[in-house]
Amino acid sequence: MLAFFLVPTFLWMFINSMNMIRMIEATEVTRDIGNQYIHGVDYTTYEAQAVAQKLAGGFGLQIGSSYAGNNPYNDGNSGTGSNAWIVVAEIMFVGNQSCAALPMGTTCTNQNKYVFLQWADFGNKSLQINGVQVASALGTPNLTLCTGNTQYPSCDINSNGMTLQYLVDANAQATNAASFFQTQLSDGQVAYVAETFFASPDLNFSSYPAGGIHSINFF
Amino acid sequence: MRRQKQRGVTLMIGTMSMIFLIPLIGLGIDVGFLFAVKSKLQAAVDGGALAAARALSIGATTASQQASAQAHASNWFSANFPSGYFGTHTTAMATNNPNCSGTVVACVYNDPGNANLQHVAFTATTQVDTFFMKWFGYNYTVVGASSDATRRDVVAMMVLDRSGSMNQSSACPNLISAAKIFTGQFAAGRDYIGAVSFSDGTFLHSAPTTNFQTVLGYSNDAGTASGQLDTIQCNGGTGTPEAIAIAYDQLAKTNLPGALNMIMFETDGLPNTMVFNWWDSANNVAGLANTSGCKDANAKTIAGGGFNSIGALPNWTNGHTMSSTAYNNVPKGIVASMYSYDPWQGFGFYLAFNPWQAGVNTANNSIYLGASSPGCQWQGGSLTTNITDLAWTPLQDVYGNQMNPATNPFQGSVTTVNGAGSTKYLSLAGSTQTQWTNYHKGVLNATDNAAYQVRTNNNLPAYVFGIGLGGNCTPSCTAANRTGDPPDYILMQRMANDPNADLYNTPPNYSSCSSEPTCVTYGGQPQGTFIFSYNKQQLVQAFLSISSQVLRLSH
Repeated sequence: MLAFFLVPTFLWMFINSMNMIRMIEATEVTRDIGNQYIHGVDYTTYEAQAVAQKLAGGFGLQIGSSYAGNNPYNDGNSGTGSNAWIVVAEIMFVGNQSCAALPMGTTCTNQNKYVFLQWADFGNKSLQINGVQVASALGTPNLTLCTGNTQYPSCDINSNGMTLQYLVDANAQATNAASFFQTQLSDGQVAYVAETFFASPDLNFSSYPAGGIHSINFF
Repeated sequence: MRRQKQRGVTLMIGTMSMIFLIPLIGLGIDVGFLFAVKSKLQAAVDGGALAAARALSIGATTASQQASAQAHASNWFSANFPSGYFGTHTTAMATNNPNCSGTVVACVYNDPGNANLQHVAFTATTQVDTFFMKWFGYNYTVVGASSDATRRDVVAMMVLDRSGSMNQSSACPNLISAAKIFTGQFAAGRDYIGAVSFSDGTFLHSAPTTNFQTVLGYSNDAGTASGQLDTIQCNGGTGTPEAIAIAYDQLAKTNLPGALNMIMFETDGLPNTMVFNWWDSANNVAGLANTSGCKDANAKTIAGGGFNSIGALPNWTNGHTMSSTAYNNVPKGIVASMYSYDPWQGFGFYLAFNPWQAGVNTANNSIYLGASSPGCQWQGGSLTTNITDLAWTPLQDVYGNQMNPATNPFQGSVTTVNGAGSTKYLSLAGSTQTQWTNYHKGVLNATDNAAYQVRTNNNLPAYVFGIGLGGNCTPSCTAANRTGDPPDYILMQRMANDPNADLYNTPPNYSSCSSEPTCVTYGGQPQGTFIFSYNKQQLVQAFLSISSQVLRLSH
């Protein structure tokens, strides 16, 4: 009779505690990745992503086979069983002064909007938490990678994840970024963002945090 | 009987153990929540402190910069730690630091051991409700986190190319706008920014000054103002090695090793001009050909016994006093700058110019020294000549930039000619093409070496950041649309010591340094960044990208 009470209690406590530990780890991993990013680590390279993979040891972050050079979209690792998706981004608020850099007569499409100056993500973009596919809280940019000799407007970002025409390219808008700041950033001001998603399919029956963890940090 | 008395004991013990177990479980749950909140709070405070340190660049006065830092700490913190996160309440940003009076959002203070280092101390607290421990009278717990970020002052010299190709591509106004936006990103009254601009000579607009927004001009969210940068007019050659030296001389004079020292170099072409002293003081010989008609102070040619002592030298230029001990003063004498064609123009030279310009309008560019070099057959009228007056050229310019450095010369070794003893000079023998090819290699080597010396100075190693403006005809130039040769991207990456310099290289216009066998970078030296500006409109983006990199490095 006692076991009817104790076993679920201990089980609940164990699962909740494990998820809590994972949540703390996720927060720290996000902070560490963001801290490296703000100090210049280039997360479009495999080497930097491998460091993130070590930081996120235990979360099942998979980044696939090594590659040379830069790739802002090493995010198709669903087949490798990756349980994590990482986004690093640099966002900027475009004001009047920034738009003044454009040639006369050019419409500043992104005036008074937040834009992505850089975007890079890796891991498993198709990750699902509680049956819902993950998406960046900043908004889901539709940034096409430029390859070969293609250039804007056929594509939006280069292999380093830099948006090529952030003043006029509507695809570069970070549509949800404004919701995070109490005070609108000033013209040309940037913020660095690290965002992580870690699914917990093996611990997916706890009340909180159910199914996985999302963490975002602004620097 | 005895067994009947024992029945129910387990239940009783188990029930009694609940008195201990439930609080223990509760404590575990509550402490877990506390740590989760603490972890998030710490990350939020870290983000706020770093943003605050970066925001010390915003504002025209120290007071406004500190206010800006506090506002940013608050803004970033609230973005990272939303109100009510995990049921927290009474969240406060309250920093008590002995360096600031009272309780402030964030405390900005100077490092006691480094006058060029500022700290931002940032503390936040929040109250976390308990789930189980409230049964024992603990309704909430206060959780706090602190962070300390630092920002080094920046001492920057801008080195801006105002050569003729900048004029022909109409990129001069774009350069001025971009440079003013660059100055607008730094902290007036705290950072030091100066500027030189160069063509076939160099003009010092301003030594590094904390008053740079007034002196040079600026543009940012707060407004815009005109200054020295607005006076730039583009015309003439590309004397890059001299410009780098004049700029670093100012950094060395300012001499703030606790700050982040850097050169911000922009060019749209290849270096083609250097400043030489053709008097070899070690061997008391002049680098004039025996056929030269140049006359010394006694009106004698070299074949006629002239140019035989330092006292007999004419003063083509009157020398130049350097500002720091990093360089020797340039003596008066047979000193001048020597221009060579860009590759697209063919082979040839253009002698000789005054390297030290009194201004930046076109009247001060390309001051031909024919009048002060009597008898010399300097070719002043056209760009179609070889060098008939010179026998050789020194292997280093007047600033010590080496055309034939001992290690890792960018273009490989140049052809030399022996002088007295172990002295060697740059050979000017052979056809015009041979002369030009050797000299051009030497100029590229010297430009690379100028940056190398900046990065490796024992007293004040400095970062070199570079912007290469691709020009209007990039990537495919035709004779009709060509205004000059684009920068050498390998050279620019070497100068910045940047192995991964391809941030804006789209479509690919060059290979990254790490994949180029002639591109050497050094792990132990300051690593800057090279940015490719695909066209003149992207110059603003390139300058902002550099300022962003610098502000990253400065904290």
